[in-house]
Amino acid sequence: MNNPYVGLEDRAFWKLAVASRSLFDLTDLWKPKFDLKTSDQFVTFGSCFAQHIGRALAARGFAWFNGEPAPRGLSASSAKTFNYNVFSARTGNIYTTSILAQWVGWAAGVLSLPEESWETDGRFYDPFRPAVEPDGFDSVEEMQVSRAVAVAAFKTCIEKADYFVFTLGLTESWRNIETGYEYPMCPGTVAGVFDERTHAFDNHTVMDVLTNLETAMDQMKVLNPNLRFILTVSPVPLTATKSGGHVMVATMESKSVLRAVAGQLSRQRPDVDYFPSYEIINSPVTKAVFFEPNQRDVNPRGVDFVMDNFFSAVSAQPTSAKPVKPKPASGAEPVASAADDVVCEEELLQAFGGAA
Amino acid sequence: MTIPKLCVLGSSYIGAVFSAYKMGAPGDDRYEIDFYGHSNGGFPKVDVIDGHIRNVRFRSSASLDVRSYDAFIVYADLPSPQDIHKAMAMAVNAGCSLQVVARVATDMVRESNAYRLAELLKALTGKAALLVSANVVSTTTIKMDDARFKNVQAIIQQALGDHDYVPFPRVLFDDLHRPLGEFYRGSVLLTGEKAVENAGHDYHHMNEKGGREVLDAVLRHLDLKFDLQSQAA
Repeated sequence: MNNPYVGLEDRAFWKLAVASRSLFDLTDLWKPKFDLKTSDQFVTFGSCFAQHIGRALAARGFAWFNGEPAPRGLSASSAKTFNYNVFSARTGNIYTTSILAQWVGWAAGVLSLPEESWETDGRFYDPFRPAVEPDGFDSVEEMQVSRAVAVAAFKTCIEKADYFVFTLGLTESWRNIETGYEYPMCPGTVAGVFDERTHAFDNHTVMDVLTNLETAMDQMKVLNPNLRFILTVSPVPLTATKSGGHVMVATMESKSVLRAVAGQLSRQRPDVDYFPSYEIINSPVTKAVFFEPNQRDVNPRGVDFVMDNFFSAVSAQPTSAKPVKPKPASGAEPVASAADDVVCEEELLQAFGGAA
Repeated sequence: MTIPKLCVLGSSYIGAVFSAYKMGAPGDDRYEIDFYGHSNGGFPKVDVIDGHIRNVRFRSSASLDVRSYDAFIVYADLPSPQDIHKAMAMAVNAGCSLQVVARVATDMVRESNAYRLAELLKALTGKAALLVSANVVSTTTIKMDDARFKNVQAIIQQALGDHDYVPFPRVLFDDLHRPLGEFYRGSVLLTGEKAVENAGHDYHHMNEKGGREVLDAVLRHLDLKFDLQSQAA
């Protein structure tokens, strides 16, 4: 009998593509929409997991563009401490699509740069990048200069990139009621003081996430009409939730919302592709083997597995330049490293678990 | 009184110092000096294994246990004040915070192989070392006034911690702390040979005259340590 399922590839059938295979023999999880070349310029932003993608791209010989490199002379260890070379500009984690839209708005000149700063013990912290300077800035002016440099670098990334790789992380966020600006971290956690009269909690809906992401993309396309987007959803669960629900349930809701939007945009827009990091790590098929014992941090094998899937799909493209194998030379950054090697502001919320 | 025994460990820069020492000067005999070196590319491999300095390409005498030396002088890739000044200025211009700018200077010092070896020797012998900056390329365009130069020297000393920084003598530089060509013409390489025939220079290495200035600066510093001022020339 003829029907639309007849003649489909093996990858379309669970029995053939999954049930009859070992986890490590899963193939064809992603077919890139674009003809990715090693010479294309990639920029990476987003949640903690985005750091792995940037590193892996660079290690495999892809042109990872760094708009705000560490100054000459700064050691690799200090560069990481001060959040250089983590993302393509020193934005810190961009967990939500609304914060992405905020950064794009600053870069495009659509939004003015906020004047807000947080002061603790005579040191000044950037509310929008609270962890980039672990001990804060010397002055408000210094912080503002640094933020302006990061915004300019972010704009350069948009203008120079062929691909904007964005890892969607969270739907929960905190906003300043008076100014409307959104923070990457709740005030009073990494820095700043929480004030319930000023700071409001949001849990973005599918429509919020979609609108913010499309707004950000459209503004980026004004700066760079040729820019294309690769979206992925971080497989890393929430550290904590303020939704009122259980953190595991809140995680599934958040990731489902993000995943739905990423999929929808990928289907709707020819300039958007979706890479399934989330599914590769979180599918029941993997039986959680890619998580550390805390069931949250993705272990190095998991990161490798995700990135191997990315690069094997890219190298399967007929016209693409082939990625190179990462070289584990002395002093070189490994393709994937342990979870504690990742700069992740949200993990600081862990410190509040069990607090009185 | 026993003559203090010194260990000079370095890159090809030590060739000029070794040549100057071989030529001799009044008062040099207040110290006994052994030289160990490797060219700049090989210097990162220099190590201390089983108490002896290993992986060198040149040494002036039999290898001794490092614990038999009274002081260590490391003259290799410790960044010069000019180089650190330039890197700090670039970081400031890039909008880096003061903490990052300060970390640039500290990291440049502590990431050097000279510092690595000084720390290793201190761990083995309990003796802090004396460190001399890398030569400044004689064609440098970096200009520094005295105040800035002293400021960067203080930053280097701070980054070195227990170790002592021995600055190049002022005489090696012009008013803006650019190296004077008279100390570079006829530059001497690691094992004493001339870098360029006919007394030319390679812009990187000093000649015996420059080597003498560096050696005297180091020995003057050590005279205070060993209370040998009266024996100095």
